Amino acid sequence: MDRTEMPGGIEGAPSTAGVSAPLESRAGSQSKLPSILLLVLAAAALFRIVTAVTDKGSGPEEVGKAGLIRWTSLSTAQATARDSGKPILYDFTAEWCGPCRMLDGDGWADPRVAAFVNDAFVPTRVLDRVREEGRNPTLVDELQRRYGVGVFPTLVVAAPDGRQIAVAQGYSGKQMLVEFLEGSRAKAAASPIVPR
Amino acid sequence: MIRRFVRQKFGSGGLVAALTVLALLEILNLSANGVERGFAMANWAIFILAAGSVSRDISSGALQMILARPIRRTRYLYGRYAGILASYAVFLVVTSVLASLVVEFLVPRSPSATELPPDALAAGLGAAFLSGAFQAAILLFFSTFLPGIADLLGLLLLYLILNLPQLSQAPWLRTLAENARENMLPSVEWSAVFRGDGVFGAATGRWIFALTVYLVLAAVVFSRRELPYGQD
Repeated sequence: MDRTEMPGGIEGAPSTAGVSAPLESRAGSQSKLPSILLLVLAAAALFRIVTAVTDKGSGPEEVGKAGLIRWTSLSTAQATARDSGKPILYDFTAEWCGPCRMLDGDGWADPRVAAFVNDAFVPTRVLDRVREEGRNPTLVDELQRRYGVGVFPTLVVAAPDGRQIAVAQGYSGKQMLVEFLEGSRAKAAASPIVPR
Repeated sequence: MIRRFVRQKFGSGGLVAALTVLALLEILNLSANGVERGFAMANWAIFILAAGSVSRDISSGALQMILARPIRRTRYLYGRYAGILASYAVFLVVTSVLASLVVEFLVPRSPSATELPPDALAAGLGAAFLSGAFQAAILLFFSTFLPGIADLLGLLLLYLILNLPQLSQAPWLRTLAENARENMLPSVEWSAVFRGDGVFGAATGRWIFALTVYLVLAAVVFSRRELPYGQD
């Protein structure tokens, strides 16, 4: 018997009516983990898996599994940018948009471009769903309004506090894309980050 | 257990004084900066409320007296957690209400004056509460095996370990740290979630799972821990 458990053992009422259980088993029952904990953990794990799968399968940030970019979820992009101090690269895109597929297949699929983007920005995709569903999620509408997006693709580089740093409309090839990304990074570095 | 936590915490004059000062600073901050940057002080309140929540009871010997009653250790542990959250919720609500009254009645009306619209205030308060609940779970976990308020040091180290690799030149190290941070200290844009975007998103899933893991780990460690007699 562990002497430190003695108080619990002495005063702990045995669960079996009128039968005095051994002290050790009572001390043990005090330390026993309720089985509901395992159930809660299992439920949280299941939720974690389901949300990860569904977010990847249909989320706007993963549409077309574009290229080699590690897209950040739209809902966490600003928090990630604040934590990392990197500017956000918004890729405003749509499923029906041809030039957007060119950007995915040519620009975002290039290992050098992808490495540069993953390193310098918090990349996130903003998928327009008006043509398919008649309306966009609130956050997508809000971002399109804020940056005045009217054509696809549109790339917007913004500071973690949301200030627009640079914008490019359409896709004119990899060379132009690289120039835009490099120029935006330089502008972002020169632009002081407003503390929040 | 919740009542005991509240009695114990608010029975200490120093702690009440510290929380009062923080509340005043929080009210000033909210009144001056609005909701966007207004809850910056709230994290300090959770540190004060949650630090050493279990370890102090162990070192003072109070825990042995509590466990003299036939209650499960997990009930004690989660009672402490609920006590922390209840106190923190009261802190947030009181400071938010007082800040609203200050903005409404004391701040002179001008186009540039801060506004605290109720919906934005409620969203900010909810985000601060959930963020505090996560920090409190980590502190509770560390408090089950670290002495005194070393749980704060544990939390600080966890943040440093997961954030310092960002300064590294090695991409693999940065990627490793980013993945670890995403899973161990997940960020959620709560304002978007409250608007209905990403409620069932991957970030929310990661956050809920990580919170559950910290709380279950705390229970596992605490249930198996040998409790020494008090040293105070």
